Amino acid sequence: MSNVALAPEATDVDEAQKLRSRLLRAEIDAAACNPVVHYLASALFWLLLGSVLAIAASIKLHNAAFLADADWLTFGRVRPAHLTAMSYGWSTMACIGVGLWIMSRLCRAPLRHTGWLHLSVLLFNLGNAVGVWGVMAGRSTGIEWLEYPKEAGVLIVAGFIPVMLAFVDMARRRLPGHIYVSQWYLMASVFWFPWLFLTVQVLMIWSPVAAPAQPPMNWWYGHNVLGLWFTPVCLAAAYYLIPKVIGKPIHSYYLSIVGFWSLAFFYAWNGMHHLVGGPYPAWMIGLSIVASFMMVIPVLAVAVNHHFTAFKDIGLVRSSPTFRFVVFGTFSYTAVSLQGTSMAFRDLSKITHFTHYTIGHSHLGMYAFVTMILFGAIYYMMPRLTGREWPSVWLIRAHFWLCGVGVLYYVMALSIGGVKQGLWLLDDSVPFMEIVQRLLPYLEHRTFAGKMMTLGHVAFVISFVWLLLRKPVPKSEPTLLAKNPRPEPAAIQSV
Amino acid sequence: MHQFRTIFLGFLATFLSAWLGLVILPVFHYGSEAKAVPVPTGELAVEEALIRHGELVYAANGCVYCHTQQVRSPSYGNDDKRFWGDRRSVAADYEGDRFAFLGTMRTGPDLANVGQRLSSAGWHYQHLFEPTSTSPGSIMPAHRFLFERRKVVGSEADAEAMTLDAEGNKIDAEGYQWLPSDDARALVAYLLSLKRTVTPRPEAEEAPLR
Repeated sequence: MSNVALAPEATDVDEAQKLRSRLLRAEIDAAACNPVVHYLASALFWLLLGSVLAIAASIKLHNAAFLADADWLTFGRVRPAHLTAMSYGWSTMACIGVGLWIMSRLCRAPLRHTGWLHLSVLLFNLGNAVGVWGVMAGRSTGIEWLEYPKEAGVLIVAGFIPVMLAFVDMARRRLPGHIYVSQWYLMASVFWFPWLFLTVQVLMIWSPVAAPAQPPMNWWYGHNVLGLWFTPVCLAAAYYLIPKVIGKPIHSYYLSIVGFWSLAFFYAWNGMHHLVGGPYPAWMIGLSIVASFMMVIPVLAVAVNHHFTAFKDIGLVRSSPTFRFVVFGTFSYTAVSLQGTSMAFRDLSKITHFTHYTIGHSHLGMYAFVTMILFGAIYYMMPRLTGREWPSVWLIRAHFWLCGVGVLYYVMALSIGGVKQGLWLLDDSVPFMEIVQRLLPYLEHRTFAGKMMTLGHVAFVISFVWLLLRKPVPKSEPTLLAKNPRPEPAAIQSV
Repeated sequence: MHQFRTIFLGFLATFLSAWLGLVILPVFHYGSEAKAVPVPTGELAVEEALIRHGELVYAANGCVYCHTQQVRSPSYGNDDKRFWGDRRSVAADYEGDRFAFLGTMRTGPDLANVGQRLSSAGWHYQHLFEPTSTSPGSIMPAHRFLFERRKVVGSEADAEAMTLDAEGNKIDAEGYQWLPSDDARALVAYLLSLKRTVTPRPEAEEAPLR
């Protein structure tokens, strides 16, 4: 069965060429194995820690007495510790691991000087440790998405330098030919992220500018770190993995160009929709509302491309863990993006703006889209990187269903609760304390959903560690969730 | 596309435009206005230092995750009917702060004018110490870690000691009382300073957003 995707390394011309490609892939995977697994394993540690913090924070919102005596466990510290551990520990480190490997495969350039990447992992881990510790010890900046104290930011900036250099190095050494859309997204995001992060570190934390100028940049950052860092990396992964798994090219090359440029152009202007109704001039907020509406273009371009490609062989969700997670993620991307656009409009924003609806929305994005795609990518990468197969179908199933159902349950609970909260807030016949009380059941449902997702993470981490403890088996069969009528290309292509 | 250079210049240019518009422009615009705020001197400077310390306590303990500090226009929401402020907030209301804690969530009420609405320091101490004692039904966590447990000298508790139960006792069974720490004093000074919509601002008088 041919394995033609637009991805250049997948183009097979003849048998000799095929063999050369296979040897090159083996070389790429061998070079990437240690640093990438180092990133992913670290990311999973932060995922577990972030999950525990999440449950603690969630319980506290319906049971104020839970762990209330110690200052470092108060809600206002546990919540930002959760958010930062998840965004800079789990998501950022997993995105770097996944991005490095995909870039290396697509450039057909094995990673070099990997010692620097190991140093980068250490700096990131140290930065996250110092950051989470600092937040819980009472040194949080109180700025949403940027709670880590100063020195953690310095460590993260330093940790990102080797990553940028590795990407530039791969781009320069790439074998001649077409540049695949995943490479565009990855290359752009490794420049966007440091620009975003350094700007806000300098202007809000290292040397703060006048207070009225800060909220616009806070939300310029808070929004763009999602749309111009996590999103492009995960879209790149989906663009790479869907054709790889089904063995067919992407639906439309031209649409992928439209999708990329319209994202780059419109997304960067979105941030101010977080301040709809807030104390800023109408032109700033209006501009962001328009840009948010224009986001329909890149979202539909990507949606058509991902869904039409996936539907060429959608039955594979039954057998391929990678495909199942990635398809879940791409559907969530379409949903969360269209929801995001709708939330920028004044009439809906008036209701949902200061409510749990926003938290539901953010988890539809950061979890149901970003995290699920990262899980799918890791399922694809680990056997290829390490030559070891996933040990247990049951653990993969448990992981998928607990996290998939968990996050949908989570989003439903907070969306319904959030809309009601918003309507009650607008109804001045409902006293404020009454709203607090009426919301408790929704928050209890949220805790239950969070526990499901955490259990899924435990299943995944057991799988991951178990895989690493196994002996590599050359030419083994891939671990599939069901018997596959048309088998996936052998998982360990590299051996 | 076969060249990274074109793509590279393209995505840096698109990013740069928004960076200039949403980050750099506001820095110059609001930065120049902020210079006009007079720096307090004498006793006012001491009070100001306490308030700025309280702002850090507010930041460190994550008050911002449940409380906003922004009043929306009466044409957009009903913040005025909940007595959160008489006019909409404008950017200049945050001048002199280290950070503008606008907030994104109203699990608790808006605090933009809490110093005007609830002007008793004693109420705030008691509320921070045990929120349900002043606000039955509240899910705000008790901030006992902002208070110090001290042995009572003599038979009477200090005037500022916290009320410990419904009977109004201020001394526990072991003869101890709870007094506000420096952090609690700073935080309450900050909360009492929040009277953001008291000063009239011409820009708030403009036609509402819609």
